[in-house]
Amino acid sequence: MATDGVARLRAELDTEPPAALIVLLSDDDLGTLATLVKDAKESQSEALQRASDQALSHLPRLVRIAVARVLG
Amino acid sequence: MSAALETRAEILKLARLLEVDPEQLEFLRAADASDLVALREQVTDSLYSQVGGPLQRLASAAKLVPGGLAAAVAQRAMGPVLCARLAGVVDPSKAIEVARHLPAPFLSDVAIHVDPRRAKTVIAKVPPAIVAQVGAELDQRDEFVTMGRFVGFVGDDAIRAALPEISDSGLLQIGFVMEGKERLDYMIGLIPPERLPLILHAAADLSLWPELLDLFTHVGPELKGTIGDLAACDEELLDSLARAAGEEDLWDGVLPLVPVLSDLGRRRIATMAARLDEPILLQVIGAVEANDMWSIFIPLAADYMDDDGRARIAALVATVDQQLILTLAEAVERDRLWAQLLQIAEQMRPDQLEPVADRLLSAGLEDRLPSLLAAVEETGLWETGLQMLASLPEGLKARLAPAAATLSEAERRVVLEHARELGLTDQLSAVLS
Repeated sequence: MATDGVARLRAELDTEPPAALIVLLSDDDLGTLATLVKDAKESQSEALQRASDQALSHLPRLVRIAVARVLG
Repeated sequence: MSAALETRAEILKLARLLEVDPEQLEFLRAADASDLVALREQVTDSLYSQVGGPLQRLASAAKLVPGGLAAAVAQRAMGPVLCARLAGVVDPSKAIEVARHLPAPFLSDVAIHVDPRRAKTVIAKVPPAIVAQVGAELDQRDEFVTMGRFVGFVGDDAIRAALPEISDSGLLQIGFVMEGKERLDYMIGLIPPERLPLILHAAADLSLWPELLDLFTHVGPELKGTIGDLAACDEELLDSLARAAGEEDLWDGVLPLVPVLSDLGRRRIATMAARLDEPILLQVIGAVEANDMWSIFIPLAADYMDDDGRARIAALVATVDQQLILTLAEAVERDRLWAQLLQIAEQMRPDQLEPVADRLLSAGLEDRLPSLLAAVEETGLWETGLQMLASLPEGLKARLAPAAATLSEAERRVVLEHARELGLTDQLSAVLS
C-alpha cells in the first residue's frame, strides 16, 4: 500500500511525523523508519525487563525485598 | 554550520537514539536538520512514554539503594542506555550520588544516550570535576556531537573545569554541532584568550574554515572582530583562509568580517585580496555582486589597498560585464560610495575609464551627477571625476546639462576652473554650457 510506511511511522510515534519528511521520503523509507523505531522500543523494553531482573540479583537480600516490592 | 553538516549531525544523533549504524539512516541525508530534530524529539517521547511506568518504578526503587551499590548495579545490570533513560526520571540528588561512584568511561557511555532536555536538572548538578573527566573521555573518543548536545545544559563552573581537558580541535567541533548557538558568544568568552589562536590553527589544519566562518554568524561583532583579527594578522592563518576561500568560494563568509576588523586586520585582508590570482579575484567580485557587499568591498579596496592593489581592482572592474557595473553603480549611489570609487577609478587608464564611466553614469545620470561632483570635491580627484564625465558619449553629456544647470554659481565656477586646468573644457562644453 502506498501509504503504509507513513501510517506505521505515525502509529509508532503516536503522533504526526514532520510533514516535510513525509513529502521528502519514499513510503519505503518511512516504513524503514517505523521499523527502526519499533525495534528500538522493543529492544528498550526487553533491556528494561532484563535489567530489572538482574538488578535484583545484585542486591543484598533485605534491600532486594524492598526493591522488589517497589518494582511490583 | 552548513546545512549538510547540520543534517549529518542530526542523523548521527538519531542513529544513537535508535541504536543503529548511521549508515542505516543515509536516506535522510536530503532532509532538513530542523525536521530531523523534530523527528528525534518525537522518537524520544515515544521511547520514554513506552517505558514510563517501569522507569518510574526503577527510579523509586533506586532511592532505597545506597549510591555505591546502585552504581555497581548500574554498570553490571542496567548498562548505559537504561541509565541514560533513568537520568531523566530519577531524583537528581540520587543521580549525582550514583554518578560519583561511576568511572568516567561508563558515564561517557551514559552521556552519549542521555536526552539532555529530560535530564537537565541532573546535568546542571553534576560536579565540575566529573564533567571535566567525562569531557576528557568524550574528547578522546571524538564524541563532539554528544558534547555539543550538553553544552547548553552544563553550568559555567563545569564548563570552565572541562575546557582545559578538551582539545583545540575538539572545542572547534563542539562549537559546530552545539545546540543553542545563541550561547556561543558567552561560551567562547570562557575560553582563555591565549587558546583562540590555537583553535584557529586547528581549523586551518583540519580544513574547517567553512564551518568556522559559519560559526562567526552566531557571535557578536566584538568577538567576531577579535577572532577575525587573529586570523587576519597571522600570516599562516591568512594564507590558509585565502586558499580555502578560493578553493571553496567562501568569500560570502570572509567579506562580512571586514567591517568588524581593526584597521590592521582590514589592511591585511586587503593586501591578501590584492594578491589573489585573477580568477580568484573575479570570484571575490562575483561574491560581492551576488551578496550585495559593495559597501564592504569598495571601501576595503579604496582605503586599505595600496596603489598597485587598487590598480588591479580597477583593471578587473574595467573588464567585467555591463550588468555587474550597473549593479555596482546602484550600490555606489545608494551607499554613497562615490568618493571611494573615485580612488579606485583613479588607477584606471583612460581607455579603461571610458566604458566604465558610461555604465556607471548612464542609469540615473541626472541624480548621480551631484553625488559624483560632491565626491570629487571631497577627495580632490578632479582629474578622475572630470575625465569620467568627459569620456561620456555626447548623448549622455547632453542629458547631463539640465542637472548641471541646477548647480550653484559657485559650484559651476569651481568645476569650470578645474576643467580648464585639466584641458577638458571642450569635452565638457555640452555639460557646462
